[in-house]
Amino acid sequence: MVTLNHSAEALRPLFESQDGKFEKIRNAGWASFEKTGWPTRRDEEYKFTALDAIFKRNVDFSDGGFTYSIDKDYAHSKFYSEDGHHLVFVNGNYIESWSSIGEGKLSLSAFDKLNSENLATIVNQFGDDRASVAINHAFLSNGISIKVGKSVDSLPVFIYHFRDASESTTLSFPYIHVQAEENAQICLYEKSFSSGTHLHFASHMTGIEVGRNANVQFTKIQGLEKRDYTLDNLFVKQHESSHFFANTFSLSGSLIRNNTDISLDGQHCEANMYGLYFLDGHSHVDNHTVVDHRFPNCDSNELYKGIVDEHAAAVFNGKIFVRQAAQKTNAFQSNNNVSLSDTATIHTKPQLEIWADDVKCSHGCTIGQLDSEALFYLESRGIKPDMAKAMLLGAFAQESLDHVNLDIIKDEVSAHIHNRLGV
Amino acid sequence: MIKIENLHASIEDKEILRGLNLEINAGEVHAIMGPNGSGKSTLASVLAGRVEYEVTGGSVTFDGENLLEFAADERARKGIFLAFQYPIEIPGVSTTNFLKTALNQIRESKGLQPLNAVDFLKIMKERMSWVEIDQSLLSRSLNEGFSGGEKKRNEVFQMAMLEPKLAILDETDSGLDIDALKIVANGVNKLKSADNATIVVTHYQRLLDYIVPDFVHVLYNGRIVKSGGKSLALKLEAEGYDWIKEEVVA
Ligand SMILES: Nc1ncnc2c1ncn2[C@@H]1O[C@H](COP(=O)(O)OP(=O)(O)OP(=O)(O)O)[C@@H](O)[C@H]1O
Ligand SMILES: [Mg+2]
Repeated sequence: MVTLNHSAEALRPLFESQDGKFEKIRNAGWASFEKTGWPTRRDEEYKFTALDAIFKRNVDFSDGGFTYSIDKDYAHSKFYSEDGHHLVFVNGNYIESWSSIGEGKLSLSAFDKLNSENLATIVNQFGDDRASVAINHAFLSNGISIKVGKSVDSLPVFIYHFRDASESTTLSFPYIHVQAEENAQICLYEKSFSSGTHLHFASHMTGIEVGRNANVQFTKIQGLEKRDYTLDNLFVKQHESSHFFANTFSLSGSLIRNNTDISLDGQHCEANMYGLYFLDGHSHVDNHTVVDHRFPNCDSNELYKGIVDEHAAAVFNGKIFVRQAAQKTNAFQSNNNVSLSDTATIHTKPQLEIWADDVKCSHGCTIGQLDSEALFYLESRGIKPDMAKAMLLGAFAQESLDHVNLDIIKDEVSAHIHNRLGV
Repeated sequence: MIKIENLHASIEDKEILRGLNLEINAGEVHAIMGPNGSGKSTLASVLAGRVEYEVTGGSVTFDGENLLEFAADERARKGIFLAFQYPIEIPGVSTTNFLKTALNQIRESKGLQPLNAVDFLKIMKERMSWVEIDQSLLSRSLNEGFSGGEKKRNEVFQMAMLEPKLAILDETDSGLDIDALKIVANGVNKLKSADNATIVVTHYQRLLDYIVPDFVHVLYNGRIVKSGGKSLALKLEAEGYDWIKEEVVA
């Protein structure tokens, strides 16, 4: 047993015991991680999200950090009953034989099957030298590269991450690469499952390239156990006239840090980010988002909503950059929170940096209780206060589901919300 | 049915109701008129149980019980209904949905089984026809983007669904066009029975041509300063409030 302290050291034996796969990328990742170590509260970007809780926990990597005991049947029992491509990751590794690929023009390559140059090209395209990226590289696993062809493939892609910590502490460092070519359309749905009683730590990388005139929707459902710690990076590059939607639903988990970075690399793009966090217990969810307007005539819309109860904490930081060249930009951002207890904490910060002059930008954040007039209206019709409150919260949360394409996903999240609210 | 005695109420330490008396029996319609700011909506809110208003004196007895002891939702389940002067918008909650919840909670408190979807729809269709309100309006978010008149119609529709004992209509006529006024009044009259009562707050005698009151009261400065029959409304329409103000001062 060791504790995972702030330096990279605790993970070194694990790093060194890896096989020779992806050596170059892993070594570079480790070198970078070793230099920075884990972020601390002194790091501006982690001011309100202390990773300390992870580092104080005892971890036991004697089983190698990636072992699991779940099987294929278990994984399949979690599949959505929807036609599509069902991709299975267990502790960060893509398992082809457990996955089920539907009809249609989708080309999938497991990282194991890519030559090292192609892999390096993918991996070097996304991210920067932040610790959560570096550690993902240092432990690069069997990720997957999904290429969506020009002819429209309408079947959705479901990505299931199984995090099994039955035997000992486990880790996962999944990598998902999506390349939507010109005019391609694709919806991806990602969901994580925890099993086992030990601690699990994950650092995800998802890199999405949205080609000219392509349309990509990426929806994440994070409903994890209390012993799950997650850093999750989503990097998106949009080409001219492309559309992108991110939906991020964080419903439970011990600590989740989502970094969502969208770079608008062509004219007439539209980027949308919607998020909902609904937290209780001691959950901590941090959404850091970046929209980088680098070209003229692009629109971005961002709406994150949160309900924070008990001792839970929510952090939102939304950066919008409008570069000098990005004239005629429309950028909207808002973050609305409802706090249900005196012990819940919410930190929200919009950060706009604008170098162009002909732009329309707006941002707003609210932290509040429920509207007392609305509560009174419902109560004056005979509805009990608890129910009235639940109805208003349900309505508040529901709006974040409006943009999800697939009913089965909408219904699932909606049911979860209503279940929690008891309505 | 309801007896209000020497009622005093304030908001933010400002006294609005200053010793108000009013008694209403089952089967009666009472109209309350009075200048702007005299306290009509305050009275309505206090009766409905809005906590922002503090009752500082007096009593309200409803069906033999001390009404002021109960929370807003309990009062509603006992049969008090307020049609708001300014109905608010509630995004994401549809009228249909919330009325079903309300109706079933009221039924539950009376020991009745909840209505199933079919029966609920049947009642809804019937009451919709009473106030000539459109289905599409009811499946939308509550009052969101409704016109002024549509909001008022929705208030009366809700009243028709919940069948209150005591309905308080706070300027339900304002914002209604002439046809809608008749329709809404017909709805109210349809609900009228020997067991329930209505308080109609209005500025215009016109509404009282359709909902004929048994009594007309003038509320001024937080008190009922004059009561009479329907003819009082006609006199107010013709002469305004000056003569009443003078009487009060004298
Ligand atoms: N929240 C509040 N804070 C302070 N004063 C208030 C508040 N609500 C009402 N008042 C005051 O109480 C007084 C009575 O208001 P009320 O709405 O009861 O009048 P009303 O008789 O219904 O008038 P109208 O005919 O214009 O509808 C007014 O002077 C009003 O400004
Ligand atoms: Mg009023």
